Amino acid sequence: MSEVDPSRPLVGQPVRRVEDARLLRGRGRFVADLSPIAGIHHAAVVRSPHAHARVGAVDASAALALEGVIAVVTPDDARRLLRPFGVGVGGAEPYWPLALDTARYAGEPVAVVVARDRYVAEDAADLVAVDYEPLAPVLDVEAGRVVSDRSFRYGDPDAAFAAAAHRVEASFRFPRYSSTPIECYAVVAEWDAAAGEATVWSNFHGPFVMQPLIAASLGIPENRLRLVVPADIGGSFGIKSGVYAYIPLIALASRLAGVPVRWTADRWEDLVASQAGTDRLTRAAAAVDAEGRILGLRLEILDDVGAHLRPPEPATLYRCFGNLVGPYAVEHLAVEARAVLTNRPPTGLNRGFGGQQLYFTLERLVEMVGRRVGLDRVEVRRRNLIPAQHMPYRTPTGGVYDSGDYPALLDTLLREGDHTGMLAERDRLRRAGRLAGVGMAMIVDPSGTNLGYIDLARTPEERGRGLGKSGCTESATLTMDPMGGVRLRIATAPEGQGHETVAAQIVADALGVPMAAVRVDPSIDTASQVWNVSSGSYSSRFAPIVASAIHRACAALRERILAIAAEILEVDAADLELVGGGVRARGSDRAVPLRRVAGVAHWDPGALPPGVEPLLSVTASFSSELARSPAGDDTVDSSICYGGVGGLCLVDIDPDTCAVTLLRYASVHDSGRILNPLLADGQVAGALAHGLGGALYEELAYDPDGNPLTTSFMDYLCPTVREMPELRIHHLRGDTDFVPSRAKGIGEGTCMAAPAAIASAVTDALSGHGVEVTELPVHGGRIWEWLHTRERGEP
Amino acid sequence: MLAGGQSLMPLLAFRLARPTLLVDLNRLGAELGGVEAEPGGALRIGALARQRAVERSGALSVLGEALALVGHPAIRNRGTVVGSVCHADPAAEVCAVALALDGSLELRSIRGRREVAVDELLTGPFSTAIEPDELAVALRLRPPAGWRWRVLEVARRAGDFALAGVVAGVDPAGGDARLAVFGAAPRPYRLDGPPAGLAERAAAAARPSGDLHGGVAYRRHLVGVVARRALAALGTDAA
Ligand SMILES: Cc1cc2nc3c(=O)[nH]c(=O)nc-3n(C[C@H](O)[C@H](O)[C@H](O)COP(=O)(O)OP(=O)(O)OC[C@H]3O[C@@H](n4cnc5c(N)ncnc54)[C@H](O)[C@@H]3O)c2cc1C
Repeated sequence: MSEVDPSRPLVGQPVRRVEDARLLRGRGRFVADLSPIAGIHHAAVVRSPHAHARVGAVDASAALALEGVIAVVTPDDARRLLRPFGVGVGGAEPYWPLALDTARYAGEPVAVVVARDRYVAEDAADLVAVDYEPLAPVLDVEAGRVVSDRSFRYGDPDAAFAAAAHRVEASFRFPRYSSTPIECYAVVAEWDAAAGEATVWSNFHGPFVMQPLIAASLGIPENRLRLVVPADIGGSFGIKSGVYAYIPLIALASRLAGVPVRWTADRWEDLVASQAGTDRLTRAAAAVDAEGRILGLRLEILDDVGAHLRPPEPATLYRCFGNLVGPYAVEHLAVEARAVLTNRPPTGLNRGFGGQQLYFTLERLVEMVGRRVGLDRVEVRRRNLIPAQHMPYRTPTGGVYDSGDYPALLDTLLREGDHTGMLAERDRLRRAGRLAGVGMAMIVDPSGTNLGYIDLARTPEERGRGLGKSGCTESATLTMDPMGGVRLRIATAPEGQGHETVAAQIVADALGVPMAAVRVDPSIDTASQVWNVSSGSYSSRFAPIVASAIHRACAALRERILAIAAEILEVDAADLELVGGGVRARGSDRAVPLRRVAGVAHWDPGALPPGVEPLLSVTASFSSELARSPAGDDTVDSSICYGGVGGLCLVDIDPDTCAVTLLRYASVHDSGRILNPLLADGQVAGALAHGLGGALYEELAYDPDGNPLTTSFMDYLCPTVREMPELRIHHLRGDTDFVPSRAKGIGEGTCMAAPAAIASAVTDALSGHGVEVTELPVHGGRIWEWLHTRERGEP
Repeated sequence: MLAGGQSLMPLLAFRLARPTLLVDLNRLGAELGGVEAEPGGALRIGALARQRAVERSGALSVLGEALALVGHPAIRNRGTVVGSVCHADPAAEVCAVALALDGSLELRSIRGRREVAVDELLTGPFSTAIEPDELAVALRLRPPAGWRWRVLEVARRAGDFALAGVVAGVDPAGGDARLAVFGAAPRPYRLDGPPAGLAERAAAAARPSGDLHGGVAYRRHLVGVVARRALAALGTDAA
C-alpha cells in the first residue's frame, strides 16, 4: 500500500478511513445503539403466512391480554389513521404499508404489536389471530398484472431490422437478489400527540424524496416529520431505502401506544420482507449487419416488482435509460418497458439498480451476435464500441456520455486483465479434463442520478399536464469555528462507504488545513439541516454530485476567509492562498493563521471589511444543468456521469460435480478522477462480491405457493472471502468536466458487469455442450441439469 | 441441553425449539471437556470438547479432516463434537465419521448410564434415541487399526452443509473398504465391502431430498462422484 504524502493534495491519495477506528473497535453507533428518548417500547410485526390471501377479522384480544403488551396496530387502525403512499403511475392501486384487506406476499405486515420488550412482542405477535382466506398466488411474471407499460422508439428500429443481415434474439432472465446488509431495518418512532408531529430515528439513507411521502402517509405536513439518521449505517447497497415503508407503521404504533416505539428487523424479516433487486425477463433482439455491427435493438422488458408498485418502482426499468445502449454505438431502438405485479415482496434499489439486469441481456446478446457472424467476443465488441472522438456522446435515448475511450478501455482490459494468461490457463485446465472458460463484459456505469428519469413511466402527455421532475441536487454546509476548526455537514447518510474520509480530504485540500482539523458529519436531521428531495446515498452520487457540492461550499467559504484575510494582511484577496492552516500572500511570508481570520468573524465582526457577512458558515449546492425532466420524445439524460467498466474472468467447472468456481477476475475502470484509490478499490472488491453473488450464489427463491425458501443465510448464500477470486483492479484515470469534482461514481460498475462476465465465462466453459447461459444464478445443480436434459435430448 | 449452541441457538431464535427447561452445560468444561485415547485404540471425546480443539489436537486425523469441513472456524470454536451427534443433522460430517468408526454415545441420566451405538442412535433427520432426561457425556470412536481415511464433500460454498459427502476408508491390504455417506439420506448410512462397486452401491442407496441447491438426481449423482473420488484417492481401483 502506497503511503500518503501530506505535502501533496490529499484528494487522489490512499488516505485511510477515519471511520475505521470506531467501526473496528465496535464503537460505531447504529440505530440499535441509540437511546434517543426515554420509555422506548418494542414492536414485532405480524406477517402474512400466505403469499396471497384475503385478510378477514384481526383479533388482537389474546395478544393484548399478554402481560407487557400495550398496543396492537390492526388494519382498521391503518385505514383510519394512515394514508397510502402515493404511487407515481396510473395502473397500480395505492400502496399501504399494512395489508388492509388482502395480503399480497408471504411476509406482508398485517399487524404490529407493541410491548415492553421484543421477546414479549414476539410472543404476542403469535397470539394475534388473523382470519386468512388463501387465494391463488401469481408468481409468473408473464402471468402477472402489468401496472406500468410504455413503448419507446428511438431512431428507426423497423428500418434497422429490415436492413439487417442477421437477427439475433433470445430471452434472458435475471434473478431476484438482495445485498443483505449486516444491519437490518431499524426504526425508532415517537409520535408527539400534543404537537401532531413525528420524530423518527432510522437507518433510511435516501433518496429523501421519500420524506414527503412518509409525511403524507402519516397525514402531517412535511415540517412536522423529523427524520434523523445516525452517521453509522451498517451497509445497505440500496436495500435499506425500503425501510421508509415501515416508518409510518412504527410511527402509528407509537401514536396508538402513546410511547416511543422501536422496531429492529431480524434477518428473517430482512430476507422475506425488506426489499430486493428486481427480477427481470427480457426478450431481446439485435439487428446486425454482415460485419457484425449492431444496427438496432428491440428490448421487451418485464420487471417483476412484486406485490406492490412501491415507490420508487418502476424506477428499475428507467434508471439506465440514458445508457440503454451501453458502450455501443447502436442508433435504433424499440423498447417495451413493463412493470408487473406478482405475489412476491416489493422490489427497489439494490446496488447496480437496473444495470446488472440490463447488461446481462446486452452483453449476452452481443456475444451471441459475435458467434452468429463469426467474430470472437473481443472483436464483436470492438466493432460496436463508441469511438473516443465521439465524446461527449449523445445516446439515442438521451444520455450524454461525458467522457471515455471505450476502445482504449477494452485494450487496457485485455492487457491489465491478462487476457492471454487467462486463455492459457483455461486451455491448461481443459487439457487436465476440466470445463474452464473465459468471459468478459463491457459496460457503461452511470452515476449521479437525475431523478427525472422516473418520469419516463408517464407518457409525454401525462408529463405535460403536471409538474416536471428532474434533479440531482446536493448541498453541503461548511462552518468555521471561532478557533479555526472546520465542520462540514452533508446529507448523505453513508452506509460504510467512507464519506467522512473523502469529504475531509476535499475540505483539507481546499482550505489548506490538515484532515484532522476537519470534522465531517454525514448524519441527517431533516429538522435542522439543509437537505432536498434528492439527498442521500444512492446511484453512486457521492463522487460526482456530493463531492461537487463540497467543492462549491469550500469555494464559498474560501472567498469569505480571503476577504477577511485581505483586510488583515492588506493584500489583495486575489494574491492570497490558503496553506498550512493559514492565509498567506503568494510568494511572501506575510501570513495570518486561520484562527485569527475566524476570530475576526466570530468575536469582532465590527472589524470586518464592508460587505462581508459576519458568518463563517456557508451552504452551497450542486445540481447539474443536464438533469432535466424527460423531453417530449422520451429522451432523458438519466445520469450526470457515465464511467466505463470492463470485466474479464476465468471460471473453472468440475466436469463431474458441475461446481463452478470463479478463479480470476479483472476489473478495469474509467471513473474520471479517483478521489481515494484505497476506497475506490474497496468499492470494486465489494461490488465484485455482490456481482459474484448474483451470478453464482444468491437468489431469493419461492416455492410454487409463493412461500420464501431463502429465509436465512443457510439457504440465501452470499459469497464469502473463500469464494472470492484473485482480483486485479486497474484504473484508467480519465477525467470529466461535467462535474466540479471531476470524479464519477465507482461503487456499482463491477456488480453490473460481473454477472454478465461470469455468465460469459460459463458459456465459454460449456461451449462443447451447446449451453448458452441466459439465466442466473448458475451453480452445479443447474449446470448438471442443463447437461443432462441435453444428453437425454430434451429441449 | 445447551452445548456449543451453534445449532440450538438458531433454533431458539427462529422459535422452532421452545424448551421449557434449558440446561447449559458450558460450565462443566473440566468434567466433560476431555479427549482421551483409551486402551484398545478407542478415542473418547467428552461432551464439551469443542470441534476446533479436537480438530487441532490431531487426536484422530479422519475426524480432523471432517471437522475442517464443518462450518467456519468461529463456529467450530464453540460447536462440540458430541453436540453434532446429538443434533443428528443428516448432513453432519461428525455423524458420518462416528458411523464409519463404530462410534457410540455414552448417555447418563439419574436412571443410570448406557452406551448406544451411533447406528442405533440416529433414528432420522434431527432425531435420536436420546431420552429427554439423558445427557450425552462422551462419544467413543473405534478406528480400526491401520486403516486410511478420506473425507470428501460437495457444498455450494466452502463451509456449507454438504449436498453430498462421504467418509471413506480402506484397510491396510486394500481389500476391504467402508463408506459413510452424509447429506444424501434422512440419516448417514454406511456400506462395507471390497472397494470395487462400493461407490455405485452408495449412490444407489442414496435417498436425498431435493431443494433449490440441487435436485434429487443431481445429489444421488454426487454421492457416486465423491465416493469414487475418495476411494480413488485412497489408492483403490474403485473408479
Ligand atoms: C453457520 C453454521 C454452519 C455450520 N456448518 C456445519 C457443517 O457444515 N456441518 C456440520 O456438521 N455442522 C455445521 N454446523 C453446526 C455445528 O457443527 C453445531 O455446532 C453442531 O451441529 C451442534 O453442536 P453444538 O455443540 O453447537 O450443539 P448445540 O447447538 O448446543 O445443541 C444441538 C442439539 O444437541 C443437543 N445436545 C448438545 N449437546 C448435548 C449433550 N451433551 N447431551 C444431550 N444433548 C445435547 C442440544 O440439546 C440440541 O438439541 C454449522 C453451524 C452454523 C451456525
